[in-house]
Amino acid sequence: MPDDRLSSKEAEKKLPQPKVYIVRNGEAVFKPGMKTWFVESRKGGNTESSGVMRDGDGAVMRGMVCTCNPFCTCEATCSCNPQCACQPVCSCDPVCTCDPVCSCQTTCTCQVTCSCQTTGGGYCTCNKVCTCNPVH
Amino acid sequence: MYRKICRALSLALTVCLMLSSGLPSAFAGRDLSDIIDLNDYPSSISSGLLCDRAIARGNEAFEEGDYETARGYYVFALRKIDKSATYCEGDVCNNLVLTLLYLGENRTAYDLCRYMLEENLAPGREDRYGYMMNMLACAHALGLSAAGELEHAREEGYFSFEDLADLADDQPRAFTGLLTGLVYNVLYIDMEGSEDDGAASWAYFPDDLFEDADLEDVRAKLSSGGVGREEYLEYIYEFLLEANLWFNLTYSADDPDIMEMILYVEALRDEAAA
Repeated sequence: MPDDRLSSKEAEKKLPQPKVYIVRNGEAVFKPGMKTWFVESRKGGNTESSGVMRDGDGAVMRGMVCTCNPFCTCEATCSCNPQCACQPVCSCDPVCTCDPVCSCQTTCTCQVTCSCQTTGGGYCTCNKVCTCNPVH
Repeated sequence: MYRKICRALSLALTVCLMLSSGLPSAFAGRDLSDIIDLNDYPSSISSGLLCDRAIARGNEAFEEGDYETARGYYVFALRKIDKSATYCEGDVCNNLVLTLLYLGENRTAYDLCRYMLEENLAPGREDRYGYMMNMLACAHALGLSAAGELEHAREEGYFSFEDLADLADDQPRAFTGLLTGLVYNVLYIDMEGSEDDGAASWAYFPDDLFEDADLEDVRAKLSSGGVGREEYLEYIYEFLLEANLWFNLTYSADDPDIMEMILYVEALRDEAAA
């Protein structure tokens, strides 16, 4: 009896599929293996939350975008350090909620770069923003 | 309906018997770290890597056949999993089992399956039956019999073909493949064993598992002894045909693995007849 048991496999980087045949009426018949169950990566789980305000050109004015681990509930706290001397206004008030299963503490760091257009009263545009790093 | 009521009563009786006998699980009070070293992963994996990303990278490595790398990511992911994220743990352990099998760590793979089935997975979940499927593969790798595994599963209450057949009745698309897959694995192990092994395994198939299979008759013949190799293979062959028929009724296609095995058993049968 041919043996295709997995125990006989060597730990190679790439294992070949077992190829064991018996001959039937002059033709080689492939010996099947056992069935196994593999769980593929869950797709579509990542949640993107946003609390973003955009100006008329679509640029982010303030807010944040969090990409969260789908297994976590994130309570994001952000600190904003705008490198911008213009008057108003750059504030981050993010809330990031993802589908809960476990809870985790998330810290967000906000690296805000502001470009100010002082004409017309001036406002502050924040480009890109905040990354949530859930900590288990 | 009648069949379901009988099964429910039978299940309740089994649970009562188990509770009264106080059968201890082999893994009671143990956790994953008793089975596998959770520190055994490459230092090159960033400690900030998220759990789900680690699983995804493990899966990529597995599918590329790079089992050492897959093992590292899966073990790392296990360390990161919050206890409440049971399904995540279920996923990563399942794939780690397969990885360990490919690496030849059969005993660890087997123990991991048993641990998950006995201690970790809720009834009625697809992955429970996936684990059972993998555990049979582990058992085969260790040279254990299918009947022994089915008996243990019955004692511990984590698997029966009756329960799975009921689930397949209610949700055929979700559970028929698992049902026929498990039948396949049991028959596969039996095919390589003796007729006595087969007689013992077939006791765990309910009579009405597949409508046209007369299991009562087969069991009676097998347990009376004196069944030759050719006849025994014929029983397996017929049962595989029934399993494939059920698969086809649900998914409108043949099960390619079963078809391969049918061909193989045909060949063995011819060989035995020659």
